Amino acid sequence: MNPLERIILVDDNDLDNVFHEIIIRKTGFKGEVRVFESGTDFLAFLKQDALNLRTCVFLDINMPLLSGFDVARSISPVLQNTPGFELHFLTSSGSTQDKQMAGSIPGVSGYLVKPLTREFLVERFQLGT
Amino acid sequence: MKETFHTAKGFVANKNRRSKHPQGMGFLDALPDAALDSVTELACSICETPIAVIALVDQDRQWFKSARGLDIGQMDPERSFCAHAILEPTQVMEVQDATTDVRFAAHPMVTGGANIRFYAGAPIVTSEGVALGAVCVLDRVARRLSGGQRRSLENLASLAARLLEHAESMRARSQARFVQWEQEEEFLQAVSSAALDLTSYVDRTYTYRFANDAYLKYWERRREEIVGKSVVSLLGEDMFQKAAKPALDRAFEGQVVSYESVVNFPGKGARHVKITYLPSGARVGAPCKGVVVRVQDIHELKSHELELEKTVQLLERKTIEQQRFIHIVSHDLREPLNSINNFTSLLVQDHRESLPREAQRYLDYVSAGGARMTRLLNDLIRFTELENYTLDLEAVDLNLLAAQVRDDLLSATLDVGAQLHIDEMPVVQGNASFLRIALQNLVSNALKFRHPSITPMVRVSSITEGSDVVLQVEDNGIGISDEHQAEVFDAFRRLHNRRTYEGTGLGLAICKRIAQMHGGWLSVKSEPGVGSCFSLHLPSCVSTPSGDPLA
Repeated sequence: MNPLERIILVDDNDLDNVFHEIIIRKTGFKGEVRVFESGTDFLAFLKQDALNLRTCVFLDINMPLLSGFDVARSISPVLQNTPGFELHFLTSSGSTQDKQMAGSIPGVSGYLVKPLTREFLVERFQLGT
Repeated sequence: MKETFHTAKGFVANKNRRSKHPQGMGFLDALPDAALDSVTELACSICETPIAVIALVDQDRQWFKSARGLDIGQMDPERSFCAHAILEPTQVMEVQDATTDVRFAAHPMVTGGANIRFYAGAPIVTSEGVALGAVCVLDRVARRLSGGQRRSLENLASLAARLLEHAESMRARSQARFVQWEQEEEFLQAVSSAALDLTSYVDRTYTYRFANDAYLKYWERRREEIVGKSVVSLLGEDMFQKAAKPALDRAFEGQVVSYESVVNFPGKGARHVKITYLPSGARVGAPCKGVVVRVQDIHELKSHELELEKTVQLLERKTIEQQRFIHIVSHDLREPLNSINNFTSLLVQDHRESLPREAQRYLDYVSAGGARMTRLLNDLIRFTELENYTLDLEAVDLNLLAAQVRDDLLSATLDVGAQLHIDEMPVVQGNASFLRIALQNLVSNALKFRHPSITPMVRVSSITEGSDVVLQVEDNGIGISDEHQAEVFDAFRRLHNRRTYEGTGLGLAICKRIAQMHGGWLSVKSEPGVGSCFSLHLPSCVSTPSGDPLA
């Protein structure tokens, strides 16, 4: 599989986005990092995207109007049918209930509790090696 | 006529006295007359005399029960031959010619119109040996009985004795039954009248046969307005057809029917009642003759039940509200805290070495404070998420705890120029994280609600009472008026004033919860303008001095 080409952060908390981008860059990732502060913006972008880059989406759950669950459910077919396009929830909630809910959406790759760590990125995408 | 009247009167008087007879011979007035008449008839025909009499005596008097060939009215019960006859209860007394017998020559029966010459009397003796009277035969001519006639007369006397005894035992039995029945009736009446439940008896024609006092009171009717009247006339067509009749019909089939309903009683208003229809006298296979209707007034019980239900619902809602609130607040707090921690960690990683030594120390404080806050917040979230949160107990040195709190609140203490005194305190069994939150909240409150013109003094100390430890935080601040002292622990009151009293909403409520989680409680003593003293009571929290918790 191709190396990771694009990372998308979807989170209404801009400070978390800033921090996570720093962590990502600190691994030496040279690809594209796109940040969306709402699920709506992210979905609008995805509609016109060619989906031809190997992409990882980190999606927050607690967001106003459109929750991370809503977003993941609406793009569940894309997640299941697009190789090289994966999605992880990245949330401050460690609640069992939320984890179970996340696990019930087909195509979702994982559930991470904030903050995003260098260790995860290195292990999952062989970044910084 | 005068004589008859006199005799009858004497007879009545006797009757009264006899009822008090020590031998229980009250049966003498309940004789099987026809049977005794047969005895006198037999006596006449066997002894071949025109007259036969059964005379009965008690201690005072004598009287005639059956007489043949002689008008009883003509006889003087005061002066009878029979009194003599029973003097010798074992044998027949025979007077062959009364005119030659000194005992009877001047007797009115001999000298008067009756013109009696002959008398023979066989004593009537009970099986217990009591002489009741005699079976006598009389004649107007002098004569004598044959041996056979004497024996027959004796037999007739013992037959009369058996008849009388039999009659007595029958009478005694029915008397006893009557007394028992009367008593039972009295008990039943008393019980049903005194009962709070409404009780009635309805027969198969839907007619009331009985109604107790409570029944009458609730329906505001007199007994004759219910008993003997139809159920429909009391309840009205609607209630009768819809509720009472179907229930009665099932009860007549032998089923016990019970349901709750609200009935509007003229004497009581609308009452919540439980009505039970109990088939009466229904044995298996036997038809039910009627139904006992029992109405229990459960109005108070029912309204208490409803009230309790409402209160429980309110409590449940409040608890859920409270938990949801704490949940949301702790998540809201986590976001800014995460940012602080995230960037502090970046600062530490990337820039710590380039900072002056002093700045490095401050950065370490920020880093440690952030990490601790995260732990506490996680604990708190766990606390609200888990219904039965059990504390992990450990030995907690209150001196160490207080020193940590002093460090936590160092800047706040310096900002307001407060003096913080910490007394020597023991080691307790508890949860360090939670106790630290509690103490931090209490000290922080003491600093916050300081007196504007006095140097704030805060004192942390403890009292040991047996195995209980009371952790105290005392200040010289503005104090709390009596009427507000209870409210300060209430999270909801504070919640609504969150904007006005920013940051203070949950503090004491959390302290209270922490105290409760340790099996203790939080209390306050305060005087406006003088200061407050908050006490965190920790029961059975004294740690073993050896430091070995298993010792």
